[in-house]
Amino acid sequence: MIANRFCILALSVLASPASFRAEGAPAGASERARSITPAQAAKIKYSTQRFEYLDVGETFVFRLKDGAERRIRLISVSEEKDSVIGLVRRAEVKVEIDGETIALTCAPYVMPTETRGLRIQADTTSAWLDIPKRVQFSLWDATDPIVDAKLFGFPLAGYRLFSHGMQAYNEPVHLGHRDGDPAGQRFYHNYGIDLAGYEGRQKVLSAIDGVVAGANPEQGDLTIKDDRGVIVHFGHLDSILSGIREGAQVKRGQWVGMLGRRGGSGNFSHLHVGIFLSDTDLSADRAARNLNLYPWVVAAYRSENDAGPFAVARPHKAVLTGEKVLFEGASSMAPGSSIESFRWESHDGTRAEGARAEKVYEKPGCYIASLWVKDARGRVDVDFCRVRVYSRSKPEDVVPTLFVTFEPSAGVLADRPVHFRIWPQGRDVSDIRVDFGDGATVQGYEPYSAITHSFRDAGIHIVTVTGTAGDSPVTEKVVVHVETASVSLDRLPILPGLHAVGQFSSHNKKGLNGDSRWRLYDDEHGDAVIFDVEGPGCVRSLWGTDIREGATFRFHFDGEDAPRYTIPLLEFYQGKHPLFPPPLASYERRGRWIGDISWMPSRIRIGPRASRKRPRHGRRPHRRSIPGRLSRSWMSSGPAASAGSSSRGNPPTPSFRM
Amino acid sequence: MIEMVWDGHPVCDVNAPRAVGPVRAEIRLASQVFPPDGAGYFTTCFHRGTTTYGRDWLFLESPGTGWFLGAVQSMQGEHYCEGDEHFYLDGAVSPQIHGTGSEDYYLGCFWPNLNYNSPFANCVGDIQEEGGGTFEGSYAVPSCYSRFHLEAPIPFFNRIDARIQHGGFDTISSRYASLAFSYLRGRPALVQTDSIDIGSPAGEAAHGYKADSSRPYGPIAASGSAGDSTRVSLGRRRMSTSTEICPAPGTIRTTMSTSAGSTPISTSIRGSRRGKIG
Repeated sequence: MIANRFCILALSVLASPASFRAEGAPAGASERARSITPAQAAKIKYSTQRFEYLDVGETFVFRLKDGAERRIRLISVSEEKDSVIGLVRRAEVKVEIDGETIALTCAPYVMPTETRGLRIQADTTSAWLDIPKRVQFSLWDATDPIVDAKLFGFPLAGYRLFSHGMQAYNEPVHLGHRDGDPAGQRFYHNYGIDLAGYEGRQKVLSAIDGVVAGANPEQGDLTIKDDRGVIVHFGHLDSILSGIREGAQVKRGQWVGMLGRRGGSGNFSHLHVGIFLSDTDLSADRAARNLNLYPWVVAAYRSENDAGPFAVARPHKAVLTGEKVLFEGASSMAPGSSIESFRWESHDGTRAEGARAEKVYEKPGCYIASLWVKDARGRVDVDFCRVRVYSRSKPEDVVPTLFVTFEPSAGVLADRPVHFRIWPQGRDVSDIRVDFGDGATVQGYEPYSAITHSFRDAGIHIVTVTGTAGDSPVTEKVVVHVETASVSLDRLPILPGLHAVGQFSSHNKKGLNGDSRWRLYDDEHGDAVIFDVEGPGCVRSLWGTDIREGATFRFHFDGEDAPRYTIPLLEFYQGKHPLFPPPLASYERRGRWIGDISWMPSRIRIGPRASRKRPRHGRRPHRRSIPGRLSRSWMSSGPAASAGSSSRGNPPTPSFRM
Repeated sequence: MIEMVWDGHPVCDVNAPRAVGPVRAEIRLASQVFPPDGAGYFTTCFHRGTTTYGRDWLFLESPGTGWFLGAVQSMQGEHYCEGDEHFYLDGAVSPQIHGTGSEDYYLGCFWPNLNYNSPFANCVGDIQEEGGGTFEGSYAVPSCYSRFHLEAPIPFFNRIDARIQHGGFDTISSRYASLAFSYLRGRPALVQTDSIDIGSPAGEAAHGYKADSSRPYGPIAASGSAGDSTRVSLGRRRMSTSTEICPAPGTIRTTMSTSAGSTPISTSIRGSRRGKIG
C-alpha cells in the first residue's frame, strides 16, 4: 500500500535528512507567497519570458524588442471548481491589452496567446498558488520562442507527446494511487510536469547541458545544474546510467536513464520534470512552482518532431452523476496549419461536433470521451478525456482507473512489436480486457504483465482497456500512431503490396550529357514544373546537383493554388528546414571538379494532384497507388517504395563532363 | 532477415587490384516468421565480363515479384560515365526508372568522384588519385560504387529487368562487374491476361475501345516512361496519360492530355480477362 503520495527527495546534495520534505503540497496548504523575481528570471537562459503579477485593476507595461509598448490591465478573474473534491479546474482571466479586451483561459494544457506582437499566458491565480497578487502572467515578445529548444530539449526519446497520461501545470493530480479521489490525494501538480510512460523501457534524455548535481538510483532522482545554477530535476527514474554520477558533464539530449516509478511516484510510471532556481532552493526542496513547464515541453517537442495536429482533450474531469460535463477541445494544436473540425465521441456512441461538447453521466465509473480533430491539411489526431463519475447521493471514496503504458509510442512501425503494461489504480479492477482496435483482443489481462502486439496496418489505432470495479465500468484508451518504415530492413522480405513507382528525370532523351535545364513544363506562373502526379502517393526522395542560389522549391498538394511549402533549394538540401533535417538531408561535394551533390530521402505525401517546384534539380521519385487501394495507401502508405530520377543543373565547366 | 555489417570496406570488391582486408562480417540470425506466399528470398545476381556494344549492362533480370534493392558495381577501361540506369518493371517496353548517368545513379555526379560514404551510396576511394592523378588514368583503375535503394526499394510484380548503360550510348568496351540485390519470389504476382491492339478496328471493337476526339499527333520525338503513367515532351507541349487499373471486370478509363486539352479513352475488360494478382 502506498500511504504517502508525496515524493521524498533523497538527493545526494542534501546536507541532512532534516532537510527532506514533501514534493507535493496539499491544496490550500499555507505557504509563503511565491513569485519569480526579475533576477531569478534573468538566470533562466532557456526562455526570454518575464513574469508579472497583477491585481484586478492594475496595469503593467511590457516593452517589445522593437521598442513598442503594450499596456496590460487585469480586468477580472473568475475560477471554477469541481463538485467532487472542490479543487480549482480553470479560470477565466480578462485583460485589456492596449484597450482591447481579451479573455485568457488559465487552465492546464493551455498554451500562451499571441496578440499584437505579444505572447501572454495567465499562468496561475491566487486560488491555485499563494502568489503576491491575483494573477501571475508570463510574457514574451512574440518573435522570441517560448523556449530555446537548442538549450532545452524534450526529455524522452521515441515518445509521442500526449500518447500517455500527463499531469500538467495546475492540474489536480489524477494518475497516481487514489489521486484526485475524495479518500485520496488532492493537490495541484504545480511543481513541474509528469509524463507517463513504460517503466524500464522508456529512455530519458537530459533536457539541458549541465553537470550532474545529484544522482540517487534508489529513489530515481537525478538533478542536472546548468552554468547559471538553474537545476532540472528528473524524478522516479527506474535506472540511472552508470556514468551519470555527481560531477559528470551531460549534454542536452544525452541518454541518462530509464523512466520508472521509484520513490513517491504514486505507483504510476512517469518522468517528473521539475525546476529549481538555485542550490538553496534545491536544498530546501523549494521547486519553482511558479514556472509553468507545459508550454516549454510542448515547444521543445514540436521543435524536434514534424508532428501534428495534436488533439488535446485534457485535463481530466471529476463529476457527480447527473452533472453536466463540459468538454473543451480548444487546447488542440495544429502546427503550421489550423484545426478545421472537432468531433467528440462518448462511450455510449453519442457524438458532438465542435470544440466544445456537453455530456451527463448517470452512473458512477471511469469513462473516456474521445476528441477527434482534423486540420486544414487533412491530418487527423485523437486524444482522450478521462471522466471519473461519482454518485451524487454518496460519492464513492475511490473511483478506480486503469493506467496504460506502451513503448514505443513514437515511430511505431507496422508489424513491429509494441510493448504494453497495464494496471489498475485506486482499487482492484476485474475482468480487464484489452482491445487493440484491429480485431485483436486480450481477455482476462493480468495487471502488470507485459504483453506485446504488432499492428499490421499503418494508421491510427485506438487501444481500449476495460474492466469493472463492483458494478461500475472502468475504461482507458490510448492511441498508437503506426507508420510505415522508410527503411525497415526486416520488412524487406515481405513482398510489396500493389502500387506503382515512378520518377521524373532530366535524362537526355538522345543519350547525351546535356541533361540540364530540364522541366516537365512551365506552369501559368512561369515556374518550371518538375514533378506532377495525380493520385495519392508519397514523394520518397529528391536529388539534384549544381544547386544555385535563388532556386526555390514550391510544393503544391491536393490541387492547392498556393504552395504548401516554399523552401530555397539550398536550405532544403542543407537540412536547414525543420521538416527535413540532417542527416537524411545531404549536401556535399562528391565530384573532384565541380558540383555539390544533394540528396534527400523524403516522406512527402502527395494528394490527388501535384507539386510544382523550381528548376535545376533532381531526383524526384514518387510512389503511386493503384486505384482500389487508394484510401488505404493514402492513409497508411504500405511498404516503402519508389525510385528516383535525376536531373542536373548547368555544369559551369562542361568540358569535364564526359 | 540477413543484415550485413562491415567496417568501412566494400561488401564486394570484385576487381580488387590488391588484397582487401581484413573484412569483418557479423551475421545476425533472427527468428521471424513470414507468410509463405507473402515473402521473398534475399537474392543476388553477380555479373562480370566485358561490355557488349549496343546492349545495356545487366544488373538483374528475373520473372517474379519482389523488391530491387540496389547494386555494387565496378567499372574499368574506357570512359564509363553517362551510363543511364534503365529499370524495366513488369514487362514495360520503356524503363520506368531512367537516370542521367552512372555517376549520378551512385549519387556521385561530376566524375571523377572523391571517396564518399553515405547511408545509401558510396564511392570507394578517390578515383583520380588512384588513377595516378590524370584524367585518363582514372578510367584505367577499377572503380567501385554502390547504391542501395533501402529508403525506397523498387517493387515489381511480374518481372524485373534492371540494366545500366556503359557510356552514354553503350559503345564502350570495358571490364564491368556488378552484384545486384533483391528480395525475390519467382512466381509473378501480376499476370497479363489481355492486350489491346490500338489501331486495329477488330481489336478496338473487341474491347469497346473509345478515344474521343483522338487525332494523330505526328511522330513523338522522345521516349517516355511506361507503366500506368506516360509523360512525353513534344516541344513545349505536354502530353500525359493516366490509367485507372481495373482490378475487376469493368471499364478502364484513361485520359490522355496535352496542353491543348484532354482526350478521354475507355475500354472494357471481360471477366475472363480480368487482371490477376496473387
